[in-house]
Amino acid sequence: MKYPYLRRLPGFEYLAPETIDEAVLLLSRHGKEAKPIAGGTDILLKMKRREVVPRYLVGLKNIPGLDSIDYDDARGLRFGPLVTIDAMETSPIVRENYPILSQAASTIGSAQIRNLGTVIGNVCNALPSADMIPSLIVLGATVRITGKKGERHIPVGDFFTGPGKTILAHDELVVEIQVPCLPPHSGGAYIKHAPREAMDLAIISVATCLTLANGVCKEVRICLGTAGPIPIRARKAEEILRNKPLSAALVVKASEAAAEEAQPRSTVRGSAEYRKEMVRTLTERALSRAKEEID
Amino acid sequence: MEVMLKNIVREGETLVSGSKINSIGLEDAIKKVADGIGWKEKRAKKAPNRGLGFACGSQISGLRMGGHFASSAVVKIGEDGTVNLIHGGTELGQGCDTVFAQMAAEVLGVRFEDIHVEMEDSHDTVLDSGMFGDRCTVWSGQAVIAAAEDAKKKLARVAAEVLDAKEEDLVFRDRKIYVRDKPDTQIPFVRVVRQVMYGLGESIYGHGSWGFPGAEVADFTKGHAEHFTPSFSFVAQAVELELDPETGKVRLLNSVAADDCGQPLNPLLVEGQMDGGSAHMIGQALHEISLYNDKGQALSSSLRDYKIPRAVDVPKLTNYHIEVHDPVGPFGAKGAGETCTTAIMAAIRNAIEDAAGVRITNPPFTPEKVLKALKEKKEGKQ
Repeated sequence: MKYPYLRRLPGFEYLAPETIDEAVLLLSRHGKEAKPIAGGTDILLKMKRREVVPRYLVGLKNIPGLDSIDYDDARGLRFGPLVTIDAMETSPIVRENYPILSQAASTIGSAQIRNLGTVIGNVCNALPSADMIPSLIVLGATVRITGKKGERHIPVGDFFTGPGKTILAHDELVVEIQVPCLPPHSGGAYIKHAPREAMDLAIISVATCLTLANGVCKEVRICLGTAGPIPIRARKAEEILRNKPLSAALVVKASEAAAEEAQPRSTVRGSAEYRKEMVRTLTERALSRAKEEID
Repeated sequence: MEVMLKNIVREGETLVSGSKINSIGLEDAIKKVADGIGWKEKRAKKAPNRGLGFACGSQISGLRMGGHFASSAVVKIGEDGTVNLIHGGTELGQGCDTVFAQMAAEVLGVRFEDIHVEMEDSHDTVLDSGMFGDRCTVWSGQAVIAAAEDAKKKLARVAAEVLDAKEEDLVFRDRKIYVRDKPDTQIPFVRVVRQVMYGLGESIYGHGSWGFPGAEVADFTKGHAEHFTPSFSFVAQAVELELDPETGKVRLLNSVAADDCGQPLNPLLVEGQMDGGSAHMIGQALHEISLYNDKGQALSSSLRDYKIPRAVDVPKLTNYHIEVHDPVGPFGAKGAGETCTTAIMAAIRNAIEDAAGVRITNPPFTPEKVLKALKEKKEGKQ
């Protein structure tokens, strides 16, 4: 197709279920011809480009309660598929308990896109450069999935199978993301490296989450965005730091390991070599920033 | 800066190409910009990873390239004393409709809002080679003035009879025509218009055409083009930026510019050109590039990958106008649009050199390219 951006949306029918069960039923009834829609900032573009041409869009907007963000000290954070990126950025609960999520949300698109787009939409769209995913992975978040066969809980880190691909079956919905409480003396940071200050895709992004006890790294998670077909954990780098005193030299060593683990591609946005180097630089920075947050 | 001040061209000088500089305010512009950005103080106390860059630029105010090159305009005066203006300059957002209405109003002594500028199209519009090369204000502007003068002549003939005065003694101002030094001997503009139309049964059209007198076609084989452009506009600009030595990313902090576009006929529009020209060239300097794969397929075919600067990527822009009265330009004006784009790219490049000691000459100066240059410098290749 010659001018994909100038084409209108293909014809479709909008279905407006009022419960999750109804939504799942509709998805299962129409099979691959149906797609769920929340904010629509990704799927409508894909439809314009004819990458997907669903005959039915199952809108989630009429289902009550899906836009809530809840937190308690026992179960942590829970939020539904209608929570917008802007809500995640500005929520006082999130800012207080998971500043990394608010920070990651603030790096996405423009104010208009953040007002429409949803956090779970960003996750389900499954781009290697998606800004919400690395932070959710380092926080140990899980997705709650509902389908015709029942419910399942999957760690966000195990949710992706390839660029734009997830384990979600066509008749399943992500109905909630759960983020566990962070132990005391924990801190996180998300760093996105992009040429412009706004409305840009990451060349590389790094999220880190640290838990310290008397200067010793009790727990550490590092996740790299745009560094491979899916967001990847830098497990060797984590291993270098785990249960060791967090020294500057060790941080450098771990960052080098993270760069080794990255499998970026060369694209118009950056060469693989440059991206690897940025993984090293940003991992170092993200680890120091996470530490600063604890201090 | 001292080197620049020593080397800039001066009024009355002839360039190697044969073109003459008949007005220049660049010396003042350079000094104003240096003061505005704090050149001396900041150079003396350099902050790490910060860079200051300075550059000047200039642009012709239109030229003769061969083929048709003149501009033309038509003024029609309505029986209510308002004026219809048709010009071939082509309004594409730069504001020439506004400036030409100002010019026609000034010549005919009517209000700005009395001028109605017709929409241009290739069927109805008068012949003009159009809008490019900073020619519009000067060339089409002179044609507008000539058209307004032509219409004025017809009105003056009748007004002179009514007021019993000589045509050359008449003043057109505030929608009145009066005798110089005798402001009480006056007649409303619209009365004269009606006298021509109702009394004589004539219509009032003015036609104007302008080409730079004696303009030669450039001789490209000899690199000679005496007299091929009426005037040169100038700009001086300085930027301050911060460079991240570990990622290569450049962040602009501040820009100060001063333009010599002759007499600014509409300072706000010139400022708009300066802001727009700067933002446009920030994109060229830092982001914008058309990339193709080996099959010739465009890789940066959408605004997602062809990155133009967003508002947050543009630093604070401070602009000064250096007012110079050009002897050729309409009311002393020179071209503004392209001139305002000429300096900032070089200023950014110079600021990168100032911040990190690397000389990069192939924009856009992307983080990857800057980091590569930094590495080469470390390895002693630069």
